Amino acid sequence: MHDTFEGLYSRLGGIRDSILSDAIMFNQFTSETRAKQPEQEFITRKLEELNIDDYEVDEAGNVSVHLNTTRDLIDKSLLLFVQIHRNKFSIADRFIELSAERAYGAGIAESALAASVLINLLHLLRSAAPPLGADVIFLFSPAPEYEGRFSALESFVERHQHHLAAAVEVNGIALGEIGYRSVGEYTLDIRSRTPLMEWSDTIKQIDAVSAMDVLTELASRLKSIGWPGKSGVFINIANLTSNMKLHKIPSKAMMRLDIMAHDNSYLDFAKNVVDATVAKLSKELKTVIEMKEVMHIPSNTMMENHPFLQKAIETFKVNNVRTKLGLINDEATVLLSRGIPCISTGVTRGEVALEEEYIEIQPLETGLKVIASLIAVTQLYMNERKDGDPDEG
Amino acid sequence: MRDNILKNTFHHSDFGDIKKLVALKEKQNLKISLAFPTLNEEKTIGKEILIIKNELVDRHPLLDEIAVIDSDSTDATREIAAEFGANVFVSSEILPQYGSYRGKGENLWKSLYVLEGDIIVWIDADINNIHPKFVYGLLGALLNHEKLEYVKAFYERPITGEHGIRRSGGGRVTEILTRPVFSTFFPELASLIQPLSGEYAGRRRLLEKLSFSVGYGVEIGHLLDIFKTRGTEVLGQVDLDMRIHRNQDIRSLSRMSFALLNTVLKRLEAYGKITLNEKVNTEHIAINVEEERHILEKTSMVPLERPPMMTLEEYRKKFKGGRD
Repeated sequence: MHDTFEGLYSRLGGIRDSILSDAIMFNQFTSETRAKQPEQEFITRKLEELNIDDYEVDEAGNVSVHLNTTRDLIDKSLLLFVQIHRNKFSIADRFIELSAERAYGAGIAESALAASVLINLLHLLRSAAPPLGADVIFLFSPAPEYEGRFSALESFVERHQHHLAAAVEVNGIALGEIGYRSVGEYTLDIRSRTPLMEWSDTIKQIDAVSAMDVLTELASRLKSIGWPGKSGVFINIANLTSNMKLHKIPSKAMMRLDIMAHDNSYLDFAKNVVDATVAKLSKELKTVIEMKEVMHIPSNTMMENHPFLQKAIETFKVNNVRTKLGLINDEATVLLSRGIPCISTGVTRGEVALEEEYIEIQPLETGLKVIASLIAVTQLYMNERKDGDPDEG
Repeated sequence: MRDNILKNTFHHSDFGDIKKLVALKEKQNLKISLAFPTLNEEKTIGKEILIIKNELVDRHPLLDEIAVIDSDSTDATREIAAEFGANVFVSSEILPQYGSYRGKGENLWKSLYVLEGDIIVWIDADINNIHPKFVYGLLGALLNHEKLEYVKAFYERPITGEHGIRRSGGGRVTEILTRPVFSTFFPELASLIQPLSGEYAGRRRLLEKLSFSVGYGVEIGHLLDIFKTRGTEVLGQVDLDMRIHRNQDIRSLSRMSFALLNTVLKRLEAYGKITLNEKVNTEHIAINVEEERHILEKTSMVPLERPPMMTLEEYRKKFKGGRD
């Protein structure tokens, strides 16, 4: 099998242009079509064009293709997946500009590139002769920004968890950054309502506060809490807005707040502190502050000495890619929480910023080689597990 | 009787089965070439070549070659085009014994000499939403309808600007100049939806017999000459849905209209439809306002035309073994 993978590596450079082309088309297509699920439509159309007709689409919108899987409970598979986020940029911002070194344009560095990599890698593996014998499930999973963010991946993993030995999430531009632990997170919507006021009211009643005053005071108190250093707690004020135009005193205000921590006990502790601070402020100011939990992601992690993670790190080293261990996307918690080892990695380098988004073309071949090598080492990992390797963690 | 051109009007989705088009091409034993005429198009040329080559050369062998015919761009157009797999030619270096002019029509004319195909597709290099349909849509009409010799694209043309994309009737020069001219002198051609579109395909056996205006007049010159010699039966048009490109300012459109008018007048006189009693002016006149004064800006636009490629000995030697 090793020799066959060696043959595969030599053909990876040949799919560079297909990957770039499909990524650009993905970005463009999903803005031009009126389809309800344009990303899914693009992926399934492209798979059909490439004669990969045995894809499955489930009710949650997951598109998956099983490569060489027997679906026997004994034979486990690697899950290679991408999270497909809806591109929120306008059509005019999404056109990609291509130089010899980079591809520029909003959306290119995220779902567009990752989806394209998976499609083309799948096509390459499918056309390998003789077949590589790798057991891989390719998954394109839709991920809305907030509500229902995990539901598609969760439903897929729920159905297939007994077949999954390990998982790799492919993202765009974090080549060399191996995500292996997810941060715990609460997202809260906090609302304040106060009586309508004019400027003259503030003279008659000097302690009168607006809805915005209430939330800025709350934000200030939360940000001034001295969290234990090792807790990793961070209070992120993601949004603060009111119902009023300039020069008017707001009577309604809303704050979106993220509480983050890398340990579940600290996360829950921080959540309790936020609850108590809200209650105390509400009492002090004699005003109602409503709090709604939008999302809760428990933190999850793999041990740093987990054999799968160690094999992954070794793979990067062999391919001369400098590695950095870090956070995985939140969605991976779905796998980690079920004890399925999961890492994330990018396929090239680049940047996602408000002013400019780009990917570098040259490192793409190395990124592809890393992914292909990860497939190969996962086969070894799975075989070792089957043979009852005492290293199993 | 139904209008010939409307009868030969298609939608790109009629030809979306690319494998079938490849089979038709092979059955008809044809070679197909695509060329992009360019002048400083580094922002868009890379992805145009990448996408078309990937889909219509590598994945489906519909095209036999992709070339860029460049008018001495000063940006990275040629380097990027070569990086993504196009054969790059500098227009002035093709048939240098015949001199060189700067203009799209010049590049198209010279492309006939360097390209090998029996069918030639020309696509503008400034398309933001490039898609393989721009090529297979045009080719589909020619491969499926042997009587067609020359096929033009039409589409919605929203305009991109500072405020994003806004709808436009598309083709201001078409609606203000070309269609009224066609309606007056060549009503049979008025059903061409976008006669000036920069995407079209033709059979070499027709293209080599056409003269080429060096500049903006190349498309309208072709249409008038084809109509005169072959009628409308050989003309087709394909709906490509939408083409997004950068907007040209009104001054450029004015110069374009001037060139078109010159080309039309020349044909009208040659075809005996009108008689001009004196030579027409060849300087485009624009008015600038500087410090509240009106200043005339004159641009010399002598209408130059290249003769049919068939009349060149070098061409006949290369493609016809020296025969006429």
